[in-house]
Amino acid sequence: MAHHSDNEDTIFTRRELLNRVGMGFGALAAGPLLSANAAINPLAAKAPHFPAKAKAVIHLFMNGGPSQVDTFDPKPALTKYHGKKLPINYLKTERPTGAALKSPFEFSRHGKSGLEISELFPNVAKSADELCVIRSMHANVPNHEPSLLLMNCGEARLIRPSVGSWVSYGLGTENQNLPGFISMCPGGYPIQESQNWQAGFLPGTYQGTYIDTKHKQIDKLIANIENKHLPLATQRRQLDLLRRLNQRHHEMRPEDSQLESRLHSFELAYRMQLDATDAFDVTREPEKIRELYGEDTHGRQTLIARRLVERGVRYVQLWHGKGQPWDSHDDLEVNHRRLAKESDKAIGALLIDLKQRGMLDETLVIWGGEFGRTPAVEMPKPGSNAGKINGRDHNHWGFTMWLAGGGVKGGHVHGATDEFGFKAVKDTVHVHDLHATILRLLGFDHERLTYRFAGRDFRLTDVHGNVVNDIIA
Amino acid sequence: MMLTAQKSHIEIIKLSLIIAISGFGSAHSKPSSHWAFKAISNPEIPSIKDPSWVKNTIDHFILNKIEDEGLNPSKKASPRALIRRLFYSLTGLPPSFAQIQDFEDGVNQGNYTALVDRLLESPHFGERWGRHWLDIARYSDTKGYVFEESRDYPYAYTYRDWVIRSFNDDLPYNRFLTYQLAADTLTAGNDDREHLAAMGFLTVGRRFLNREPDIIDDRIDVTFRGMMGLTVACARCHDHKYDPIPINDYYSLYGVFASSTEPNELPLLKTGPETDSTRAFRSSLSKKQGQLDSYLEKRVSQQSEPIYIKKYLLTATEGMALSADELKKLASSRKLLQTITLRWRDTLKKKSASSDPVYAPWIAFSQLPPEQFSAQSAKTWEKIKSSAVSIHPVIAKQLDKLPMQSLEQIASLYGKLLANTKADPLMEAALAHCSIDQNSIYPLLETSGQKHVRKLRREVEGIRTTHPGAPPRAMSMVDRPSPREPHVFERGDPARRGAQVPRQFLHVINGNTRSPFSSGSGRQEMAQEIASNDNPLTARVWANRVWGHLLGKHLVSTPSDFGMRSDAPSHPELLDHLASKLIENNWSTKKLIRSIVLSATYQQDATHNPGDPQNLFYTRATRRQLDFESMRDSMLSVSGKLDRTQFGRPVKIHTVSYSPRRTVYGHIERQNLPSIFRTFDFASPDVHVAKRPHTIVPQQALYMLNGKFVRDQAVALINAPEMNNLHDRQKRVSHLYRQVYSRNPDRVELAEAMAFLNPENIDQPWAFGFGQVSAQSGKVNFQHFPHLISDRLQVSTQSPHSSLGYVGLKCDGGHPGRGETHCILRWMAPHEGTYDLITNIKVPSPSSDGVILSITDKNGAVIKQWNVTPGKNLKANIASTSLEQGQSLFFIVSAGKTDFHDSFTWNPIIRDNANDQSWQASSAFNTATANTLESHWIQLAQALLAANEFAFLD
Repeated sequence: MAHHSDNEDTIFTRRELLNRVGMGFGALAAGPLLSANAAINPLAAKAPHFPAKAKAVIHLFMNGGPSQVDTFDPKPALTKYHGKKLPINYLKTERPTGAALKSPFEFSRHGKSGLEISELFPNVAKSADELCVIRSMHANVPNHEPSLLLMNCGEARLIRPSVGSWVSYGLGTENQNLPGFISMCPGGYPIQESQNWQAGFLPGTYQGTYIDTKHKQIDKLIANIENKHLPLATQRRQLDLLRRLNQRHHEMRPEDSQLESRLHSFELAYRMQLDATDAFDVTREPEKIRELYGEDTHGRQTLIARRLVERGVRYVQLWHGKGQPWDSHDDLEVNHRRLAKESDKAIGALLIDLKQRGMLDETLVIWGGEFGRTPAVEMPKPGSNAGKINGRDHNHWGFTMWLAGGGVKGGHVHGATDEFGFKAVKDTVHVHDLHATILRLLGFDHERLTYRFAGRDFRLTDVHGNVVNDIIA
Repeated sequence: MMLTAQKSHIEIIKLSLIIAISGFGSAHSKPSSHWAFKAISNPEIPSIKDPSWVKNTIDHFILNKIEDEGLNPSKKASPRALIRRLFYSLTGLPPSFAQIQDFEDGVNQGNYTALVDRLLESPHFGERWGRHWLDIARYSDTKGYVFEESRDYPYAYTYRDWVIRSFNDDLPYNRFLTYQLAADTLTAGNDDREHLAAMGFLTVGRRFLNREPDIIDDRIDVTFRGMMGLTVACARCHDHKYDPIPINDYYSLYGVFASSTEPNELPLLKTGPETDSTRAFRSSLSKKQGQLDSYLEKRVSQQSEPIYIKKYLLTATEGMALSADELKKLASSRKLLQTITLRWRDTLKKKSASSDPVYAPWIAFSQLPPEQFSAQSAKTWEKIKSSAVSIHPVIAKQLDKLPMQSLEQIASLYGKLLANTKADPLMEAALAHCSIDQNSIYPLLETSGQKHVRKLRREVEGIRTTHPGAPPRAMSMVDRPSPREPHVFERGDPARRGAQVPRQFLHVINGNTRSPFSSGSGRQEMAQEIASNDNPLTARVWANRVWGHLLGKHLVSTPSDFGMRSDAPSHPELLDHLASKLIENNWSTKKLIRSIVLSATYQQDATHNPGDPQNLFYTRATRRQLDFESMRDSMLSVSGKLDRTQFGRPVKIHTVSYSPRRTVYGHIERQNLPSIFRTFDFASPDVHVAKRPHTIVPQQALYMLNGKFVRDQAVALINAPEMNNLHDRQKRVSHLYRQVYSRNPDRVELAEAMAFLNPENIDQPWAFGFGQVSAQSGKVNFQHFPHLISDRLQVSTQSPHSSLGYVGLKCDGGHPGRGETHCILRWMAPHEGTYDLITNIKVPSPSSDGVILSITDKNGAVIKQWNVTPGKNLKANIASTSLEQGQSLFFIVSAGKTDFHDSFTWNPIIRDNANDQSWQASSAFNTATANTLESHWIQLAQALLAANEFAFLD
């Protein structure tokens, strides 16, 4: 089964259109305008290849690259060698590295599984038995730009759709009143900017909707979501007029489903104003829940993520912040402590909250950066690390990501890095493998979710990717 | 992309299996028999049974098939539908009411032909068709993500303008193509320099962090998919899996592009006469350049000033034993340049205390311990003088005169002497390590200095590229002095160089007759091959694109892929007919377009044809939604706001204060393309786009309902002078329909609009108005305020009104009118009940003589009246008034003897204690203001703009 492998330039056939309808507008089935042959709706909900374990994804993107040996991959050997050269051949990373740098943070065991987590994430640790920690991740190069694109789009440089776009393309969305793929980052863009959530050669509607969660007002979050001049009741009256104009126009052209789709889209838009405002308004949550997440930017955006997924949004990306905040080339101890403190409470709350609502089973939570960091200290270099010798360089050879919910094993560790945490050595998982696994959890065979463009059937994993069956529950 | 991993081999096998199983490509097992690779034929005109319908040869091909299928074509479209279609096809703008009327008055073919010819000559033709080509050329005004360097392509617009002009001038399509690939080799004098801009086709692509193989891949892709419908870029890592394009051919072409480069200084386009603007440009440029030069000069000369020489000497000497890094730190802390300090130290280290005529004394002095300096300096000096060194006489003479209390004194002396004795070769040699100039100082500067220089350089560059008087330049390419002989990159990996291949054209086109390119990079030869009359693809690909734009449906459904996996054309003979006519007519695009729009096929009605529901046989016209540009341009056009200025630097069209120029002149930022472009299916500026996607999503509707741009156009429609001159509502509605839809409203539409414009139809308890109370009957004559000005409802746009005075209401107060005109607040009971009325009212100004508040009962009779004296808050409460559903109460504020300074504040509240409900006048104000008559006119205009009739073309 070729999943909607359209020709190079989209446009759905009429039959395809008709096939899609009926699944897409569940929320609006009562609407007076609904008709069975309305829609050029690229976001109508679609079924994947297999029964899905996960229905939605929340990707917590720790951009800049958090250090595995300071978070989820304890390496006592580093303490032994602290200040001494590691007894291995140093792998090439972005900058020269020197002696072993032990982790300044304490690790301890958590939950029934006894998963080892550092003191940086006390709140995440409360859900240790839900985490599936992959300690054997690896990527291609030790630079932010290509690694961000690899992690997001499966290709380091060329124009390719992001994971969220592929998922929106494959599954559509269950709530037509909200965008299907939302990327939130407080204060501005991460490095590589909106390329991280690009639709590439897929239609633009599959691109992630970027939201700057620094803002609180809804009209700064979603374009044109509010009418500055008309209250809803008045707008309803205007919309009724518009509907009558469109209906009369349509009566003379009854077979044309595009006309009906567009007529219908105004009703969707009207409802979107209410639903989107509702979804982004965290003050509608009980105080207890707001306190659980924390009433700061991270708390707010993480709580918004839950509210979005609850409302049927497929793919939500939460970036830690603009630029590359986790990039601790120096002062690792201070910086990692600060960064973890900014996000731990909200992430811990998300896991507990999803669980208590029974949503965790169907929501795949992903945590990690574009790569990890070296176990050896980064050597001083003018203009890069302020001459300090207390940070870690980029490391694509081995790093940690964790997954939770969405059909993965909880309290589980997959794979391992070498004795010092430099390189993934056991059951290694490449970024392409992670992508294949994410798609599998969502019900797709990654080799069959394709799109024809420029004469070729493209897929997220290109010609790579193996599903990591060991982590699937 | 590309198969770069170890397991790719297995993948290839897997893929080929899938292909074999699915039978893909099996229909065309031999490339030589694939229709698109065969020479273009000039097919015979097919015979038809019913000649009455046809208008030209195109129709023979179409009708022949329709008849074969036992179907009928549609009748001709209505004049209105046809003219609208034609205007959008050729100019992307709507016809005016008058233009349609003219045509309806005399419907005949000659008239239509004349209109076609006129529109083909319109300056807007090139804007419409140029934009179609810019989709193909993945046009953008920026480079994409490129680290720190500037992202702008300041001259991309010269390419966009060249494309528009070329379509307007009907530049033959074969030359249109060759200029875009090799204008540098085809233009000579100033007369045809303008064509250099054509090469933006190659150079406006994304820069992929400046990685050459990716940039070239993008150029190969845009050239071959764009011009020949061939997916050559699929052969980057291995032989093309479906089409006969071996990897060697990819690298043959790669070599052509790799042998070409962009000149550092882009060539000037044709220069015009000197104007004020160009003079202003040169003057600001030289001023800014002067700032940069003088800063650099200052920093250069500074390094050999006495005070600096002194500091360098002392610092270099003090840091003799430090590591290089430590010395650099020390230098920075003293505001000295690090590299110069290191050079000073190297110099001093090399100079000998026993032989250097300049530095020998210094070295000797510097070795004295500081605390013993004054005690031992004289003795040291004597010792030096008595040694064999021949000290420079000037130094010796000055040292003799010096009291010599500290090393610092000696350093000062050196500073003075070295800085001021430039003609002295010995001294000059002693300062050789400081010899720097404006060109070499930048890397030596401290971070803040470098930053300052970069800022100035950016400003210079900014003036050079964006000053209104700056001369335009072409984003051209030139051949490298010596061409590069390409090697195959195995698996697309530049690190794995395979066999060398000649720079030459594709085997699939030229077969075994090809020979390697011989002139320069080979770009010109490549261009000639592409634009050749004998190329089987180029003319077909262009004819198919033109047909698709005009008919809404292509003959070959994959317009940029004519390879073996593409579907065969629905009408192969017609495609060849169009392609051969194109060549025969000297590649005239306008003639091609003309013949298509004059065909009966194009002129058909769009009504659904049950025998051909998917319109496979062109038995009707295809109804289409306006694309982004047409939609936006049309709104500006009907609102009267469209600025028809052509060409020039890009303008912002998505910002809050947007340019009212045509959308084709909008700035396109490919890295973070504003969401409005994506929302409306604009062609991605990142990759060559063959056909735009077509989606209908609620975000588009949100833009129509809530976007500032659409509302602005609605407001402009209502505020247009022609509207203001009309007072009759029906006439105004008709005018609006003529503006927006170029037609009159019918009876139903008129009635609907009239009903919409009546605010009484709005069901809400509070109404804000004004009026009089009849002296005889006591009946209240309530009228809605027609205007909302800022946050105040008024009787006219100006306040005071000439006879009624300042009468008006805000959310929490107002001002009564002059004489018998009062402010009136009406409350209509939403259900039967007993209500308490609570009002606080105050007149703040002591200059007022007070106002009178009256509250009426359900019959309009005044229940109670209060005199409100200035400066005091009055509580005017009435308990337990019974009302039935729909009955009204009035709160009336009248002036006292005069209306002088009679502004008041109030907050009437009505409470239904039984149901624990209350209604506050102030919180109903926003709803009320949205319901002024003016607001209803705007809403009506906006609804017309948003409706399907505006958005779709029949």
